[in-house]
Amino acid sequence: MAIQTSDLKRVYRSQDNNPDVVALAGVSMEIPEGETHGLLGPNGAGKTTLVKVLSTVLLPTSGSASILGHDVVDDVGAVRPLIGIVLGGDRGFYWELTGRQNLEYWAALYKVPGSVARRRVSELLEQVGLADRADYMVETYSRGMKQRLHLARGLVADARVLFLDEPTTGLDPIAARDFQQLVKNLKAEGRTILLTTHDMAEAESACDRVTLISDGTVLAVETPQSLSTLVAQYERIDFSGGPDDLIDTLHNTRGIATVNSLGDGDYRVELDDESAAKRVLEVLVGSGVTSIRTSRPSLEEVYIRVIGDRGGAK
Amino acid sequence: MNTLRLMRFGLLVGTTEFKLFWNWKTWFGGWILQMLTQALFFALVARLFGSPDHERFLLIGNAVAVGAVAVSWAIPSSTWDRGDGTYPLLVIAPSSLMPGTIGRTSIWFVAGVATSLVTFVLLGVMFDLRLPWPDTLLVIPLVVLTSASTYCLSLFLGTLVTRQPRMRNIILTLLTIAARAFCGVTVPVAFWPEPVQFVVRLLPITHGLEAIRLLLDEGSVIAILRSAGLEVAVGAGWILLAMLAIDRMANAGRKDGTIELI
Repeated sequence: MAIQTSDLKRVYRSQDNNPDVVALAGVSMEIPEGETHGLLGPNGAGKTTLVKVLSTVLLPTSGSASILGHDVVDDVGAVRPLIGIVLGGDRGFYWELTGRQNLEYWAALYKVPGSVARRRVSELLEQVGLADRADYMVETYSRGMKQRLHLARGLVADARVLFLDEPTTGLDPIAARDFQQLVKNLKAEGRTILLTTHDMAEAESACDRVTLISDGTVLAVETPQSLSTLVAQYERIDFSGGPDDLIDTLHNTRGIATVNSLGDGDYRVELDDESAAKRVLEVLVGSGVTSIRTSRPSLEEVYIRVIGDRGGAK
Repeated sequence: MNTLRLMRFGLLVGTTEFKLFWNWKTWFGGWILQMLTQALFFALVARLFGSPDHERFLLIGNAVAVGAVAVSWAIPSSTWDRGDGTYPLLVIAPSSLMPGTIGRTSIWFVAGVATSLVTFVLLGVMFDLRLPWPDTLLVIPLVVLTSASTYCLSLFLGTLVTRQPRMRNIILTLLTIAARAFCGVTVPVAFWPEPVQFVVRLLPITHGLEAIRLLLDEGSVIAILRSAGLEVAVGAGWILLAMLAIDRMANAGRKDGTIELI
């Protein structure tokens, strides 16, 4: 296994009279080599804490975790050369150095010999599309360029396991799509990737499997296909206006979970059957409704449904 | 070899940061003027009381002390990786934190040496200090030595404040106050009670400044070498403690969860 955890727990001790914070409440997971695995959850779910433990930034309170068979607590010296971490955001660089200098510094930190480092840094800058800006200071880089530099930094030691911690947060859609393509290229090179995100679409497009995590607990491990089905199953349709008996008609339509008023003549139809969308749209159009919009449920809503479906509602 | 590479890159970071603070004009017109003013204050007080010996004592002491003030900036700069978001990445890299940190902070050692020497020359000219020539040139290596040992202590304190970065400027201030008060800058070390003197002899500046005073007062070579040797020993002790502490501080942060990824 590339990544393995067993009943991994992390509790942050409170320094005042507040209760301790349980960030990980017994996470067990297995990720085979070469897999791109999504870690999907809302803010505060425990995603970053898990990455911190796996990347040796943080010690677990109990349980165990290993990278390619090396324990992240007892064998930290063996783990560190094997992993790379890619952060999201503007920080994590020396802004007054050039992109090339930053990467060469990180190569030295990973004990990559000088001549190898220079060659690899040039290759990586080419690979992430920063070759023409390699000798500019990082402070002149756009958000997307910094993100690509983050990725290059994570790869500078030729890491076999990569942690990508919300790498597309704050990127515009085009930059995010380009970044996701880079991630797919890494997968093709056989690297194991753990991608944390709260964007379901990103998890669907990039990952072989996805772990849903909430409150430090694994809710489910899904394939992107089943996640996609899950999301589509709970699609919503919003509409405005319509004849007086429309709501009753909708209530009698098969595959509808609820019809709720949003106020000002607006309504939301929640589906519990993917095939119901077509029937509802036919009813609405047939009733003369012209203002119709479909939307997907939020991640939190999917969680609630997932928890409910598994009999673990909180 | 890799250690030298890391120190070189660290120095590159430190140098570019230093240039954000200062250029030649602002360094002379701002920093040096400020340090000179501090030294002048004490020297003029001595002149007011009509005591040439005290004036000389304070001029020499303060020329060394202002360098220590500059060197002490290594304390807050040790914590700047926290602000940059690079600290967790340094912690999880296979290399020790030490070489990069030394590289990044050592620019303040260079700044300290320059501050001391420039202040020394300016004060010497302004107050017409009578100095033995060419022996006075040996002040240069002794200032380098004193700044180096001060840097070693600053580095140790810097490794400690990586755990509490908010304390960085307080520790910086306390060190500079302690240097001026206790290490023979403003009053002789012998002024203080024995227990204080014992502690002071474990601090940098004390022996280095003593060596400089002996040199400029044409003291014996053996006494000068003895004081310089003690300054070397003090510096070596503090750098050893810094080396022992730096990765332990990082591990303590791993344990209590105070190292943030962003």
